[in-house]
Amino acid sequence: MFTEKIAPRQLFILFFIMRTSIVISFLPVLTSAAANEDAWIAAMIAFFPSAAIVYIIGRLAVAFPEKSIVQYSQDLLGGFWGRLLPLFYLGLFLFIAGTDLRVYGEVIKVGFLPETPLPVIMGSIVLAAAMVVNAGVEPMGRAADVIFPIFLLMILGTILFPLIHADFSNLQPVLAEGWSPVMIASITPISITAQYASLTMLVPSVTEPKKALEAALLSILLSSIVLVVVTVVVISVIGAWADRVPLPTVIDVLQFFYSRIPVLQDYFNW
Amino acid sequence: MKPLSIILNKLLSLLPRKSKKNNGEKKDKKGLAVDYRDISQREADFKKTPLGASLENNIRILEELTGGSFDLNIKRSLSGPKEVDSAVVYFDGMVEKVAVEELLRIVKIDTFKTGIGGVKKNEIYETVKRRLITKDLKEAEDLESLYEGISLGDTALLFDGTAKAILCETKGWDYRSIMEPEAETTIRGPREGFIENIRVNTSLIRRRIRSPNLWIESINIGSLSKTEVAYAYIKGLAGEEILEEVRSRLERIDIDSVLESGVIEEFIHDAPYSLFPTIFRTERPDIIASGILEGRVAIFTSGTPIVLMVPADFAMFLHAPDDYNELFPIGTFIRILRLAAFLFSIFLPGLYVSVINFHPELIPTSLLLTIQTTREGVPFPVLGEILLMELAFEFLREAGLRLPKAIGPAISIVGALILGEAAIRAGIVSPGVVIIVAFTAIASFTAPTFSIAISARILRFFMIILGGAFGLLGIQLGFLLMLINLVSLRSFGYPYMAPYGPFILQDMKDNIIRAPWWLQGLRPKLLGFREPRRQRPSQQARPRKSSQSPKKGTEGR
Repeated sequence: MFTEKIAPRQLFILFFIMRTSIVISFLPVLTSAAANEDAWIAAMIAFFPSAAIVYIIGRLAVAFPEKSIVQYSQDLLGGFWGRLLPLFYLGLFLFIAGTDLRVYGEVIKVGFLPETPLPVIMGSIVLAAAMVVNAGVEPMGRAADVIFPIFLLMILGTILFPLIHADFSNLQPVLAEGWSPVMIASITPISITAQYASLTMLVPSVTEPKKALEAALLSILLSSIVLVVVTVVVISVIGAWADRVPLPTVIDVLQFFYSRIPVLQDYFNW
Repeated sequence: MKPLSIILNKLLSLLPRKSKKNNGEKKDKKGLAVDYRDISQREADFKKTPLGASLENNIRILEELTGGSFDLNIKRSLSGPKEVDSAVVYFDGMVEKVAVEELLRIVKIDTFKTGIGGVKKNEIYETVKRRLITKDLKEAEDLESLYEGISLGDTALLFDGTAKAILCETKGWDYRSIMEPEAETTIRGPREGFIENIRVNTSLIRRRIRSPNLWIESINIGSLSKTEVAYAYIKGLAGEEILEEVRSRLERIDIDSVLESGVIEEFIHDAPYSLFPTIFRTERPDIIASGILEGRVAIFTSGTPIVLMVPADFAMFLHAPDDYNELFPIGTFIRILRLAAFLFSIFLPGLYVSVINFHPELIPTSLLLTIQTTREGVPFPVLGEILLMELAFEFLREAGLRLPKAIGPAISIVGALILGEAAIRAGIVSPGVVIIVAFTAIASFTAPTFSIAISARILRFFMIILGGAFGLLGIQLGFLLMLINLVSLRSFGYPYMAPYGPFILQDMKDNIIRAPWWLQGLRPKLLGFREPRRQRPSQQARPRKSSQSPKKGTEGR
């Protein structure tokens, strides 16, 4: 069933790109809405519960290295519930894919093509995603390998170029209103960790399923670091108030397209 | 029993038949019966015809088979003291004259001289066969192998009373001499190129790789053309699965003729609908040799200087022999340069269109103003301008290719000066577009292999249209679709985008950068997996360390 295989490295890259692109394109907006200057602290705090969620999902997936959640949910919960539960997951994947797609479309529309109808923008990326899903898991992993250096370069660019204008006094005051807004702000990045549910579908395709958990945890660690750095840079450059518009940079174009592919992959895997 | 009946039938068919004549059987000018069998029927009949003992009959069926073609030479004579009827059969122009004369001398004269007076009628065949001194000697027992021999330039000796023929190798047709391939020149590297003769081509490889483990197998493809196709590899290094795949794909081909390796290429292509070539082709023996040494399989086709090589990966289409022959920093530099040029040649016009049309804010204001002032008065949209000029350039390139060499430069002057200059003067296109098209053209000529350059040319038009329609979004979509296609390709089971995707760190020493030779310790991972070690690691030459310096007392001498 799972004859096509991807390496743990490729799994890591897939999740890293998926998580990072989505968090840095709209999380600074959401977190700073509640936490203002302390958005970066919220991003930092968000790491721990997120990692815990990933660990739980990953551990379960690794416990059944040969099976996807559709199969082992029936082992765990029995016939009826075991069949019902994957339906919820199907809904979740659809929901995440839909959200990501909409966010992608809106960013492109606001930033680049204000007169292009939204369905055209989203349709183009759905076409690409459908093609890669049609091609299979292996090409997806290889595409991740090819894109990874470009992606890193783009992130590095967005972090380094605005640094000239950075004014770190913008980060002050730290914790002006105490911990509670920060905690509230960190809920969004935690909730987005639900993306990692696609781990339950991808683990059977990994050559060494045992290493899949490590790869997933590493990806969330690194993407959290990237998120914190990006948030710090964004706040110090344009201040907390300006954070509320999405970053209309070229990077978003490149980052976004990749984020929903694994999700769609799961969706089609059923 | 069956052969006998066939012979009888054949004999009967040769006899004058009254009944058929009455049916209006016509004779052509050579006096042979008009034959209404179709080609496949003829081929099938010819395959099952054995040689008979009667020379007369053998010659008749051979003449009937070839229709007395004017290049078929049949020299009849009497040989030996017993004056046995004999014949020397060959195709004029395919044989070496001297060798055939030698054979004729043997058959006509030597058989009398050698004192084999006691030889019986039936023994002359064996005697001659034993006494022949030629390069290669084969026997044919049926018409098919006899014909195959003479069609390859052999000379057949037939004697009355023996149902066999001796095939002596006398191959000697004319071929082009070894020259530098015009389409693939190097600054530093051998000047040899493949030619149309398959034996010469394989010898060019054999001379470079003198190991007995260089195996060359051959099969004939084409029911009519019977083209020799040979594949060369290093036994024990090339993957057996790849070899099996090559073998089975070649054997599967059922076609009437193979006139160029392109036919073979399309039959064994992994992704026939992709724009990208998954089979490497070149005219340079040094490239083929280096590929074979990495564990690839080269496929030679008789009658063409283009040799195929599988499995191919994307990166090797952008590598040139100069990368390896020059010093490694230079090699690395030109390699990166070429990669950038390749990307430019695909994306630049599309990017220009999309940026001018949709995202003028990405251009610095002063530059934008310059472009806009030159564009004033131009009646076409940017997309139309670019398409017009690209099309003009493609026409120019195609025309330059087809024209005789003497007129070629004239066309480029017409194209460059008249078309470019006049189009700007007339205000039909803006100078910016001409610059972009010229830049792209130059960039596309840096590709070392024609096959990848031509895919870039086609992709460029897609990118222009996508960029003109959707701006950068379209370019991004185009890039994605291209990437998805690239990563899902496989060439004989070998991932096409390796070592970029799947990423293989160890192979990066020979991709993008070109590491010095003494660091190239390992063969490509997926190809040379059977024997990863290529050479002793870290052989960098260093000056002698002080501990190894000459003993005291010898210093200063």
